[in-house]
Amino acid sequence: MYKPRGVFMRNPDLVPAHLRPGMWGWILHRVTGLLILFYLLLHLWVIGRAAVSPQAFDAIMVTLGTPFWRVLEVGLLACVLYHGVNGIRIILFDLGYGIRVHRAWWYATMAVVVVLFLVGAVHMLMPLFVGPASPAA
Amino acid sequence: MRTWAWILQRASGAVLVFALGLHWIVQHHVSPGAEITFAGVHLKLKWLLYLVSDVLLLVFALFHGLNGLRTVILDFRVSRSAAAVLTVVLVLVGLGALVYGVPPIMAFLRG
Repeated sequence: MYKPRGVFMRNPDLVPAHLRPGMWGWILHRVTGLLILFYLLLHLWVIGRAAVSPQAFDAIMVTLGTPFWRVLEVGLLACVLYHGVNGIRIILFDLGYGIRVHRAWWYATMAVVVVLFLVGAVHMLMPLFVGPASPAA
Repeated sequence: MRTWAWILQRASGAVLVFALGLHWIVQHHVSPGAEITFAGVHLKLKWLLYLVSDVLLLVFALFHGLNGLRTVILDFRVSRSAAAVLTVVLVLVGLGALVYGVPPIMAFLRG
């Protein structure tokens, strides 16, 4: 018989043998949530330090427009879209809607996330290939 | 406490969908939008609805994020005393971040 050890002793929901397909959505919700919290604190810190003067702020915004940060921001988009759309699904579940059709609900959620993500990612990465819409003066 | 943590997590989450959506649209898709500049943010924050939604975003995002972190940690069966310490620490982090987040908004408002 499987005997939970280490971290699984403390949180039996995470024991691999207990994981059902539907629980990946739950784990993904938590992981994206923690990543977004990390981003939020970083965002507050960066904007707080940048907003001391217009010159400092604009210089940091130019840095954040470089490919490295843009690609990371696309990752942020993926996390936020998943967390937000899945969060709406969770609220509807808690209100009692959609539990009977939870599997279809799940696919609908993922479809919405993927479509919004593709639209957003193309929009965000396009300037890297065709240059900025309005050239910086 | 757990019931309130749960209800407020849902309520703040619902607010965030709108506040974050507006934050995103205004910062990236309202003119001047192609490049985010100090002058541009100054102009946008003069729009009262945007100012209010940004302050709401600060408050609710911090609450939602830190309360979510608390839920994740408490699922690992921490002791009662450890949970109490955790709650105090997270409240302090939240208040600290809130205080840290206000001066930048004031700086943008002054222009």
